[in-house]
Amino acid sequence: MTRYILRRLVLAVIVVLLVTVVTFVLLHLLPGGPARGVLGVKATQAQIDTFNAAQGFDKALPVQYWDYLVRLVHGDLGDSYTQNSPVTTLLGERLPKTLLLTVVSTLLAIVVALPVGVWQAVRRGKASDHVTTAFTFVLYATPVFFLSLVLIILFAQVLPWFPAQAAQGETVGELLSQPGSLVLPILAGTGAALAVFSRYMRASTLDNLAEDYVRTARAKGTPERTIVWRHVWPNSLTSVVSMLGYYVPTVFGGSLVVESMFNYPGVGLLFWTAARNADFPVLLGVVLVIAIATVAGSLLADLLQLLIDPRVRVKGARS
Amino acid sequence: MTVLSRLLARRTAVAGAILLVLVVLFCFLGPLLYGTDQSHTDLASARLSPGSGHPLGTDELGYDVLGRLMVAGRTSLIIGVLAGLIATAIGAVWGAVAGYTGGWLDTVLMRVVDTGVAIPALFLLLVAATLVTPSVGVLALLIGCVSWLVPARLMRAETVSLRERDYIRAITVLGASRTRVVFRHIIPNAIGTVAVNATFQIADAILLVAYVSFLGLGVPAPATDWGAMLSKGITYTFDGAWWLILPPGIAIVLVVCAINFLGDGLRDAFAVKGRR
Repeated sequence: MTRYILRRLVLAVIVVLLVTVVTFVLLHLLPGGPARGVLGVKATQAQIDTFNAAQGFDKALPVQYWDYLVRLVHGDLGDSYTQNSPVTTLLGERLPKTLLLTVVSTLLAIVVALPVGVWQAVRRGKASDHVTTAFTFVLYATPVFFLSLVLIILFAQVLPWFPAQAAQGETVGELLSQPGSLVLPILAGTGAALAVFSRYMRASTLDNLAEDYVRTARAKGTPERTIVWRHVWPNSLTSVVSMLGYYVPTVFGGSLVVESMFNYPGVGLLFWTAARNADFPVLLGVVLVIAIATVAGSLLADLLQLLIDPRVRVKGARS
Repeated sequence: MTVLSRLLARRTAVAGAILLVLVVLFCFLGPLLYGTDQSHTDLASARLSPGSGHPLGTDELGYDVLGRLMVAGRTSLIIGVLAGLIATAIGAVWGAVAGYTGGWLDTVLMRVVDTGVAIPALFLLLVAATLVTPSVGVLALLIGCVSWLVPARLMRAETVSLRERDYIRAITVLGASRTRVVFRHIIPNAIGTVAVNATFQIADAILLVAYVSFLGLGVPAPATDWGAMLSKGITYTFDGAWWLILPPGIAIVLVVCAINFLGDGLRDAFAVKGRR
């Protein structure tokens, strides 16, 4: 088992390294390189050369990549081209705000979706299942930006209950001082996650309800309520927990959009501003954070499953 | 019971299929019945609310929204379907090779997939869109190339489990060649899973097209798609121009729902246990 965990850790590191290679190469493929992006199309060749020399962009790509890695290991992501501060500072300011948004909306989604999924599965084929399933289907098919727009039209325009723009603030505390402005962004994030989780939970519960142990329990005369909540629920949770880790990229992808829709001052908005201004160090930094979070998420999911599911433990030990 | 009759027994799948046919007819035959000028702007009649002459009003450049919905739908559907098929094809081959070969090649191929999962597709599309001029074909290819990861994982899992089945082992022992095993036994047995996943892949691609266009990286004007219509309409949300936003948004939701309904039905009809 220790070997399995070590193996997974090594693989995770390799994947993160591969991500840095891909992002690094992609960003240097951009027409004119970073210099054009920063100095603009009117920059003279002399200006571009000076910039490249100052930033080390005149060296060979592998050398630049190595320099980049060395700085990375020292916790240095470089300085933003446009915002006069180190990328790590920018990320440090923005990450807590994005985490606030994603964690709250994911938790809300879980709290609602899991019981709903079980309830749908138990009432499979009844009208209430059809209605809620149709609802989650529609929610699943709704792009986050359209959902955000609908929320804005409904709850900021038709019924002016909440502002359409998130509060701006340096710290999480400042954001929390205007909780009303967080409602719509959080709802938009919740909606997307809710659809995925409840569909998954419904399917997982249905699978478990068809298992032999359920039939045995029924044959013994175990009350249906006990079967569902004592036997099926923990088993279905296991598979959903393992899915949560893989859901990390979707969460971040969603927050990129939600943040730009509501002008929410998190990592997503930082990403869009950086993309518009060709601010490469910031872009690399954001993508790296997302990649590490994704890899960590799936690693955590696998390890969690190892903890709660003995079958994986045996298989893992063997491989 | 055949797959088709099992599929027809599912009301949601049939409803999804009918809805899809209607949308396709609307987008491709609609313009013949309801002709509108979608290439010349008409600023004199810009942003008219829905009424006679323009059932869904006009947009900020004076295009008839109903007609625009049809033209945009063609772009969205064509790119979505192409991208979904490209993603499925790449993923299926990638996963089958990884799963069937095993060993170090499997490890390498699947680490590439892990890497792809860790990089947000939107980021890749963003960079790619600055390198090339988006057209229908280019967008389909780009979106296909960033969304083959799920089918690759699925196909690998399927191949690995098939490879270990007794009958495959038996024919391998009997001397069947690797090519024969792959083409006669593994691929035909995995086709259900792949076909079902292809529908979800198309649905996801249609969503991704919308995202890409929404970010302003879609097909250049006067061509448009549902995502671009939405992104243009946003500016007028607070002026109450709901007819610029709700029609394309609802169209996206309807099509994606319909395809997912059909996919779910297909999965049950093939008796495939799979994702979602």
